[in-house]
Amino acid sequence: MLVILAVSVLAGFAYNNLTAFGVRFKQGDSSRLAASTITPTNATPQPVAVQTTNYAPVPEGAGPMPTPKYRIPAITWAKVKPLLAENKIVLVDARGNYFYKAEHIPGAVSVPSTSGFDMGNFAQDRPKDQPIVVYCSSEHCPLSYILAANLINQFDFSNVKIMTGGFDEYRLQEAQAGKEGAK
Amino acid sequence: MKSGFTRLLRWIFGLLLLWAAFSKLANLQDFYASLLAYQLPLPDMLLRCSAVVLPWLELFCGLLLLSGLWLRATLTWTLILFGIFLLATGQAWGRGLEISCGCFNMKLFGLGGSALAKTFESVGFAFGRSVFLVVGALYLYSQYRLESVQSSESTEEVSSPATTSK
Repeated sequence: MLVILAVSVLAGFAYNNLTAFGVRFKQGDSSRLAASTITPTNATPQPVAVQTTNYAPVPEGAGPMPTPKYRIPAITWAKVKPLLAENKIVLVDARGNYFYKAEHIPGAVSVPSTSGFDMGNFAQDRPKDQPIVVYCSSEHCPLSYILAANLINQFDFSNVKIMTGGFDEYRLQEAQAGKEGAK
Repeated sequence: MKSGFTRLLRWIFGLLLLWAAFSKLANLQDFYASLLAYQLPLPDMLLRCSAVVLPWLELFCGLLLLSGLWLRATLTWTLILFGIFLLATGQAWGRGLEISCGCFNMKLFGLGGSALAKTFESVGFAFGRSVFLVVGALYLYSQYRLESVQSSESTEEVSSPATTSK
């Protein structure tokens, strides 16, 4: 029994170090959960996929998704940024606490989509019509959709949007803005 | 494990474990995210280690079940794994969590996102499946123990015919 376990542990950690989709153990180490397309800080930022529809698409391949009471509008970082600066929205990070602590959009609050407790705390005493924008790691990440749908269905928030490009979009846009500013 | 039925069951479990292992190994971070969604009261580090090790445990158990080697240890691990799945899916189902079980990747068969895939991956279905898996693994384990006892008795008879003929 122990031999099987030992071989599994060795193979597991060896594979985890080799694969690009491995689980990261170091604090601040990027992983696909935090950002699906990892962009080194010195790399040329790639163009972010432009949102062609006004609604957030239902994530595919991530299992059953909750069905929200209304179609959730999509929003880009370019639109979120001024609204956040003017305190007109609440920006919510749907990723796990680990990723939020490692890196997040300044001004965002952490409400992990997997935690009903955090969701309840967030929703408590908050006006139901308050504009809320949810993001997770990237356009492929289902967490923002899950959280947004739960905020709508369970807590009756009427103005929830999803920043579909997620943390990737923020990082790339800010990197581009930084380059242009430096010129 | 000589009878046709137990051998077939062992092979089915072996193939299921291989399928489950490859589904998880394709993207460990997705599997880790699935584990997080279960909202288990476990330390994050333990969940990360589980996401790294569990697929390989499934892989080796699957290979060993198919090959018929180290059956006692393999069946014990299989029983432990299925027991863990039963507890995890049971608590998630009981709490009404709308999550994907993260057990099998239907994309391997070109069925990702289909209604069948959603049903197969739903936590309620996964719990029901886990019950059958645990029952099946218990049956296999009991059959293995029974055959071990029988074979050891027959070995004793062969090695000491004078004693037994008395």
